[in-house]
Amino acid sequence: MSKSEPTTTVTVTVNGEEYVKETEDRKLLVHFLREDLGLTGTHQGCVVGKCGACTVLHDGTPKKSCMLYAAQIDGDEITTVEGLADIAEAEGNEMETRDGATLHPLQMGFKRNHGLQCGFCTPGFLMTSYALLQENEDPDDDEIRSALSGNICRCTGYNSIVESVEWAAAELAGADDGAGGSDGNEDGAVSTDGGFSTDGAAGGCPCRRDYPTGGDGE
Amino acid sequence: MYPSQFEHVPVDSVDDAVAALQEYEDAELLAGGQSLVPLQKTRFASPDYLVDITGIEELQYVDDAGDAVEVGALASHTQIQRAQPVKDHVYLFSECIGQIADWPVRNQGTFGGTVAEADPSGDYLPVLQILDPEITLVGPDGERTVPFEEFYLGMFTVDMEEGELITRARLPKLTPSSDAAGIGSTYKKHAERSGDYALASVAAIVEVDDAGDVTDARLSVGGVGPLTRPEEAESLVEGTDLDDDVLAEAAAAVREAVLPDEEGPEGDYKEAMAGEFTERALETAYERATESI
Repeated sequence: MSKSEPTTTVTVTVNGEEYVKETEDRKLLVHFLREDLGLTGTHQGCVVGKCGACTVLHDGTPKKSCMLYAAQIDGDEITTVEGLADIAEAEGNEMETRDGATLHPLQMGFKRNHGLQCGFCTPGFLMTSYALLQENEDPDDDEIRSALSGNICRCTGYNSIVESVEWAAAELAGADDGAGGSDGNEDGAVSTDGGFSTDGAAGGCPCRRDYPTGGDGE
Repeated sequence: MYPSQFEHVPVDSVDDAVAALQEYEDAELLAGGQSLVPLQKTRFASPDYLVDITGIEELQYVDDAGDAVEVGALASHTQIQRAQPVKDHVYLFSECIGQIADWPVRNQGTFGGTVAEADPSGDYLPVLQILDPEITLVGPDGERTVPFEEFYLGMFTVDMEEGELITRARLPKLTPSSDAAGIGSTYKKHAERSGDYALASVAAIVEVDDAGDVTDARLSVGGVGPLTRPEEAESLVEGTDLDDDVLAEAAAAVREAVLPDEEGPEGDYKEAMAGEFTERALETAYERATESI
């Protein structure tokens, strides 16, 4: 940074923690989060606002952090993927993996339902999905697809991502009957019961095996 | 890529914005920034100063104003789309906004920024052309109001002087005129992928009488060359009950009226889509108009 570079001092609360930082005026929020705050969960993908990998919550609203300058968010509140588990804990709906990590039900949903492969786009999907479920706790398939249309995944395709969000919605609605809960799945295509996917025959992937949860929930 | 260096100048009132535009040479207004920021990153825009008006709260509103719905220039697309007066009285606009880019972009993008940019493939333009709202601007010489028809001069070009900013628009409510029994409207967009700019888009408003005959039709086609008001197609459908023959004639008239920028098959395709989406838009608007009679 040269001496003449215009800078701004921003005060921003990220995941509940307040930061006061001097930043270049031209620094984008995504770089500010990653480089200045060390919060590398937010990813930069396409750089031009198409892919949604960098999506964070700005005062609770999903926005693309590569389309905002850090100088613009002075005094505001940002939530990144690093904050999701804490939110879950605060709300009393956190989930634990077998190795003891704490996850938000959405994160668990992506894990169980193969909502991710390489995981690069996942933080953006999670933040948009979280905001969607805040507004609409029981979104239908179209509503999920519409909300997530600004997030691009080049690995899984989108069905398993939509299933992940549906799974989390059911989980958050308290439909947990020990089998993951699967009400609201009109077409029965969502495998939430720990079994194999039986639809699509030849296309069915045996790796859809989930953690045993003690019973065939269907 | 990082944008080239600029100084961020935040303002929180219209007066301060006007003063800042006077004070700084080579300044751009930063409203939502959803078009400007990518332009800066690709270095198509490199202003020395960004006058950041996102914090001007007095411009972030949507109000019912009697015969119109007033929209502050810094209302976000999502805010407008969900505002009850818009849903109730200018549903056309709400429908159009639902097709702009994607949710996170609509949360940050603003009315004023979009209107000022006047991107010919943007979703607002066809809708605004047939709604013809009044646009109000403020500059060093005070306030002025112009109808959209005069405000929009052509692609990426609007009647906006140096040092001015848009403050609000009055969207006329869509209510049937005195000789009509029902009114319906719609916006139909054809894009390659979800969230893309339109390859062809059509906004339509149709009014009908008790017998279900069209008394007034307004059409606008976006994305296919210059924004087009296909007046011949409009008059063709007036006085009819929009049977298949009339729809086909209207579509043919629209294909004649548009001037795609592209030559060859791509241009032919866009012409064909302009016709096809005109038929779809007219059908939907007509259905909605006749629902209530």
